Amino acid sequence: VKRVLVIDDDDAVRSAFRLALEDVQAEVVTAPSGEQGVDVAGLQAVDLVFLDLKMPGLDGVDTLQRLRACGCAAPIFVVTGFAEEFMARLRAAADLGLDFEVIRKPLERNDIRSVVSAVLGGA
Amino acid sequence: LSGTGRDGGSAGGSAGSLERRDIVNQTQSTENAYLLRLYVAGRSSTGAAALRNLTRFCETWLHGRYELRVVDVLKEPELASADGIVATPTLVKQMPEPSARVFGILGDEDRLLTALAIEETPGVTRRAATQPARAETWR
Repeated sequence: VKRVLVIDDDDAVRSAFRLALEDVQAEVVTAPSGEQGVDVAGLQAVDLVFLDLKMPGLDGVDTLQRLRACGCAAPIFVVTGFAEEFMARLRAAADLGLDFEVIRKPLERNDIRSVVSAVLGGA
Repeated sequence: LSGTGRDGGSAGGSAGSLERRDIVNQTQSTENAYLLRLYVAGRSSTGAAALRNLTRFCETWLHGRYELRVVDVLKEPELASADGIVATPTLVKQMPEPSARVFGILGDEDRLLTALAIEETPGVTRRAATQPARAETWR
């Protein structure tokens, strides 16, 4: 079974992912902070990561950097609003050579399901 | 993963250099031309693979009658928002109508032919399906 990791400090967002993927053939694991997300990815292999950009403590870019440094090779989608105010951090991350995709916020159920299905091959 | 398109800017470049918002290929005539935009995030490996696959596809099926622009969402988020982009990489067909959107690595030729409503050209045969590498499993 493929494993999807959702890292977001918002309980409602983590619940939305679980609900959206409840009938999908994938295990959804969640973490409420970047630090805990890195720990989860270090303990179990993950196939896809959704990572919130704006979080207290480690933000999305810091977490992305640590995940890659720890050898996480899964596709990572940084969840963010598509507005200039959020992009400077992400451009800096891209300039560092970090490999990631972006997905817009807010996310709808079908958006989550479509991306998961496409990335995990119809999971 | 759907929405509507609108016009954007351009700069010179090639598929190899991957300068964002490049015109990878510009058709000489807009009549019946396919106007395409590929939305990517920086220099991601998946975005680069999608561009390689799309360029190969267009040269096979749309040679001389397509214009492809690459848009970096990290640099032009508002354009991505206006175009209804949900995630990267996503291809948008602006013209001819109806518009269409395809998310992923763009390695599935049959899927692209269907999504872009391209009729098969006499003498051009579809490539045999190949098993993509791990980083290219997004269809």
